[in-house]
Amino acid sequence: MQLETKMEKTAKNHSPILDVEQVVKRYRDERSLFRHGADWITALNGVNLTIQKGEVFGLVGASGSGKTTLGRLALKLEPYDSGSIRFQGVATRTLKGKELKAFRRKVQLIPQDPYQSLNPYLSVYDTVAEPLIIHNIGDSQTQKTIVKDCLAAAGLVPPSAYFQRYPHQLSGGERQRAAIARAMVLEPEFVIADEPTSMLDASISFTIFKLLAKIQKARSVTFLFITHDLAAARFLCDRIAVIYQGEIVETGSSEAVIQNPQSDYTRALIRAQPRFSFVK
Amino acid sequence: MTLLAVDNLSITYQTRSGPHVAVDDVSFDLEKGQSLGIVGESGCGKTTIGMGLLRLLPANATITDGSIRFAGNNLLDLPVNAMQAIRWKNISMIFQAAMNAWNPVQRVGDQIIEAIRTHYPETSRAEATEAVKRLYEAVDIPGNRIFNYPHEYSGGMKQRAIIAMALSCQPDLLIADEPTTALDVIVQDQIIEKLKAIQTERNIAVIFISHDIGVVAEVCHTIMVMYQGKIVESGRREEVFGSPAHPYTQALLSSYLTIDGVFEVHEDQAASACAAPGELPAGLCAYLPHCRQAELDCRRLPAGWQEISPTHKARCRLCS
Repeated sequence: MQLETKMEKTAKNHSPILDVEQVVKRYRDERSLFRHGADWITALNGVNLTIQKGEVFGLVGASGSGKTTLGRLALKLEPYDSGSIRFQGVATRTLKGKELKAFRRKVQLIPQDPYQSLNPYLSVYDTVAEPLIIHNIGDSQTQKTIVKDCLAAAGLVPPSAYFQRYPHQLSGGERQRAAIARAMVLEPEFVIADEPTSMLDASISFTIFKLLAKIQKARSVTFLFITHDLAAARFLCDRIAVIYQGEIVETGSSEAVIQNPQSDYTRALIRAQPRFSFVK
Repeated sequence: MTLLAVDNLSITYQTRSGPHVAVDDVSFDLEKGQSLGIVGESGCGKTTIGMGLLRLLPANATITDGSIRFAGNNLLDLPVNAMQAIRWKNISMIFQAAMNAWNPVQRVGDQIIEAIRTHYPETSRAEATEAVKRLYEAVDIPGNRIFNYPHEYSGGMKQRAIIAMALSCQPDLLIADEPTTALDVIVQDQIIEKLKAIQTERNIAVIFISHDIGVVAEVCHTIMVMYQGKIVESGRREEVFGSPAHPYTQALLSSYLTIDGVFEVHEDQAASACAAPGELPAGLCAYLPHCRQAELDCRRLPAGWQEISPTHKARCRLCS
């Protein structure tokens, strides 16, 4: 059944939502500022990537491979040195004013660390309602209904019990659910989840994955899922790209990449996964 | 020879909302050279056990019951200075997130040398430096990096240096609390392999504490599964992961994603594994509010240990 829905998806959607072409991003190496002039670290070295509308795309790599940088560039949080990034066919580099605000509404982030990404001075209600206020959506009554629905969809039930709670009163899983609600409240078309469960226990991670999959299906959102965990990527994603030292070394359907890896680095990643070879 | 024998250990925290029993009636033995894994999710009490063994608990924690016999002595009866002599020299620990605890303004090698010379004051600085060189060789860090500062190390190197420091006084027992959390898979795999090799080479006993069952499964021969302060299942790793007996262990495994799908994942079970604990009359199984297999007797009678094999037991009525 799962295969069927995947095939349907590819048959239906041939419009790319995100197009990354030959993107190069370099950072100045701060440490060597006083040693030998300016040194540059190439975080992304000519990255090409196309994400189709409606798919769950996994970007897999080790720490320092550039996967978070690519996510930040796709969100237009940082400039890049060369290449182009297009969202729904429009180059994001030059977006300004109203257009930029419209772009921000369509593209959202679920950050890595729910312990750091929520404002400790904002209640769950204020956290989730803030995007609605910024984008001037509905009156306060409508906003309340939207926030309520969103919290419920993120599995914070009953929603009203969470309205006045602050991040320190939530468990790690609940915080990440609040961050998911905040990302979904504007009904974005494209969501980037940057290692959303790396700080959480396995059983909580698993329920969060299930939640993301459910939301993705219900709202037909496109997901870019950034992770170092191939097992999680296999579970969640239609297609994955493996990134190593700022370059994409392999792209393909999750099954194909894992069953039949083409690059040495992908093979190394697969080898490093925990095994339970002693279990029959 | 039994190196460590923990009997009926119970540890309680005084909190603003009243006493909280973090470790409840925990018993286990550890032989020399053996490796034991303690798995369980955040808040189950696994770190508290590790800290309790070294008597490094925070001020609001009390060991209310039990004994910790290490090489013949009950550690709980030792005066503070005798305990201090045991720490690091006999029992050392890789603390959680320790790689971020290096003193940033001291060179890494100096920090390890300090540990050696504190416990062996007769060691000269030159001898200690030699020892650090050998330790760095064992953990695969180039010798010319000894006198670098922590910020010049990568994450994996910092963690390997932490392992070197934990081994610096040749302990008999090493407690490793989440030694690979926050490292990416490839570095994690290297660290695990290193720990395994060192453990067999030096024949030290290891207690490996982690929420990541995949990591524990690679290192440890014996596994204890912990839930709400209690050990709910223990056995050889083949037994605990191959034929889990306790419903909580089953739920835990059914939420663990592996690349080859060894465990059948199940959403409802995963949800019950991480659900908030419920209120319970004392003595009954702590997992009862979320157990999908509970029977009438579970609600009436305490959950005692059931033996499944001579090496495998579970604290569940259903396993008899």
